Amino acid sequence: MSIPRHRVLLSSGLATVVAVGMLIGTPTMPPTDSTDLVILPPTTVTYRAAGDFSRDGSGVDAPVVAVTFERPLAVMRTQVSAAAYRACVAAKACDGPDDADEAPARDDLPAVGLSWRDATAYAAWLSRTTGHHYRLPTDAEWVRLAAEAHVEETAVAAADPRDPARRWLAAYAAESAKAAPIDRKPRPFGHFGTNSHGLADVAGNVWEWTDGCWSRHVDGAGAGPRETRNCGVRVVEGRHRGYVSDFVRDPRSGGCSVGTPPSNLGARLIRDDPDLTLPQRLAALVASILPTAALR
Amino acid sequence: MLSRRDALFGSTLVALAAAAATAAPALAAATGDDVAALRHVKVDLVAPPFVHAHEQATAEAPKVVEFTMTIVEKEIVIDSDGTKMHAMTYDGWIPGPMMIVHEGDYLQLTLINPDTNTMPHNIDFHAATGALGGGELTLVAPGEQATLRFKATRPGVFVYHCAPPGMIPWHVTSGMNGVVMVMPRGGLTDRAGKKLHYDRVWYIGESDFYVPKDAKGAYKTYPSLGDAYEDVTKTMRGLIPSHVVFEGKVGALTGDHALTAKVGETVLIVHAQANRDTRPHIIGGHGDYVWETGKFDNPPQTGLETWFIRGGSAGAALYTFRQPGIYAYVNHNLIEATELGATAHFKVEGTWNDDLMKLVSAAGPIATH
Repeated sequence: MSIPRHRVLLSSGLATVVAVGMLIGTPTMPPTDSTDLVILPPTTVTYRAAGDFSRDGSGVDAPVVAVTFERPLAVMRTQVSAAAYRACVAAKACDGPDDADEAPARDDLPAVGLSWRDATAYAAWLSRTTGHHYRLPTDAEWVRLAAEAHVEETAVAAADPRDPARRWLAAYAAESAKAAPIDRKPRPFGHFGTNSHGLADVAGNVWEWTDGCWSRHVDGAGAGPRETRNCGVRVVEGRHRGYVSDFVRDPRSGGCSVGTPPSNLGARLIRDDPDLTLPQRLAALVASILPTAALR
Repeated sequence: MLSRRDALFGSTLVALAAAAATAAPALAAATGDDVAALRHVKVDLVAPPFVHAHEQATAEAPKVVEFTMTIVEKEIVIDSDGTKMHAMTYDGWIPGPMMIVHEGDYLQLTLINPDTNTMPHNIDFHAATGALGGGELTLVAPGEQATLRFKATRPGVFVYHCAPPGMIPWHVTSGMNGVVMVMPRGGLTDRAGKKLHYDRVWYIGESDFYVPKDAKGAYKTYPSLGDAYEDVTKTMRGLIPSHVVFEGKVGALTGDHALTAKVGETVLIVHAQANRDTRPHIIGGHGDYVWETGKFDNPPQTGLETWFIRGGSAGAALYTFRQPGIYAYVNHNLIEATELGATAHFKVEGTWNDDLMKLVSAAGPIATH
């Protein structure tokens, strides 16, 4: 296996790129993190909120909301790899098939077949092993990282409160329209290109778990807006948004539903970092150069 | 080898037997010459789930209705994951197209097996009397054709299927099955003899497929039909289908291919399963009049929730839509419906009927008072 790039891209709004390389296993070093991260600058995203919305007893389109991010966001350049998830399984920190006889998992393919629970367990393990805090993105953060790869939900015709079937039929037609089959075979990182942030394979054939919960927003006459949440069902994002129970690894449609379920479920994590001071950044830079040079 | 097209021919084929028509009580037996003198009508077949234009009741004299079907062997995709199967089909469709005649008419089929195929094929009509439903007389090798005529003596919907010696289930579960509908000359009636009318027929052909898997659980593909035979047969013997589908493919009748109707319209849903039991159910609807065994001389049952189609038969259900929206039409073994594919959708336009259903209080937080 080649030497990992050990590259962490940091930015505090200046789009500064700092190479931080650390040697895995050096006893005197703190826990290392070779995760390839991209730092997104602060921004505002506008998108149609996730969840189920109704007014006066009839379904309506979700409102368009604007979310402002005042801090940079550190995002994995690629999705969690099959090899990385296997390492978590081997460490008995993640649940996974007993496939010790299989060929080694590849580090250039995404891990697929992850449930929300799997993805969350992986984030916790990665946090422990690196000393950083990794987590799933919120739904808004996913929209932010996806940039132009995020496809807005199709607006459905306004409901006629006396005829629930009309919106139902319109929603069915919208679901049918996105029923194009997608090859499920996992592809090497970069196969589906990179978006304007430089993130690989956003909205490829692996959907990404978010920390968003399914929610229902009821706006009734006189009652005011009320919300219920069900965090047993999480929001997944990709070519289209989906709502999947947190234990599901292989979603499917069928029965009374139509449309294409996520082809695969995987994860791309966010790293929460405290803002680094200038001396800290310089120290990190120095620390990075020495062991990297020693390796050569 | 099984893929050799001449493997199954032990004897010379007899071209056509003389019409040995079995006389139904109300219908006089005719000689071959008498039949030749009847009016002959050629009918073009229509791809399922639709059926060719036809009269429900007829005032005409019995006639000979002529059909032609070409057998097509081809590799098809049977689900959205791209799973492939070497299919054998009547006229290129799964199920084979529906042929409709009236009781007392003669159904005459020319069955063509082009030399591009690799297997001998034939046809066994459950609606026919004698010669293994015609199977004994119609075995055609690639490059051959045969024409069979039989008298439609019993009204109802009947399965037809391929039945080549030694490999019947393989041909049937690879797609070679369809339906003949024999209408009563006076059309459909309820148990009191009152006439029943439909606006259209929806023809659902349910198939159980048995695609072999490799050691890792991935579906296998094969270079040819013959290469697939041994593994498919082993899988069939487990009696657990890999797919249970309508119209030959998961999702063939959903989404953009959902069937459409309007409130107030009446459909006759003909459901056939040539090999295995099934239990149709309209989610959100009923069977107003159901000929569960598919034979129209028996009075229809009324107001059913789910009906049973015995493997090797077809049934018919008449239903008038009363409410707009999406209906799921399923094999109500729901594992087969949702996991294996046996689901169709009906899209029905019209005006909502609050009397039949009303959401009194929409979903929201639990009331605290």
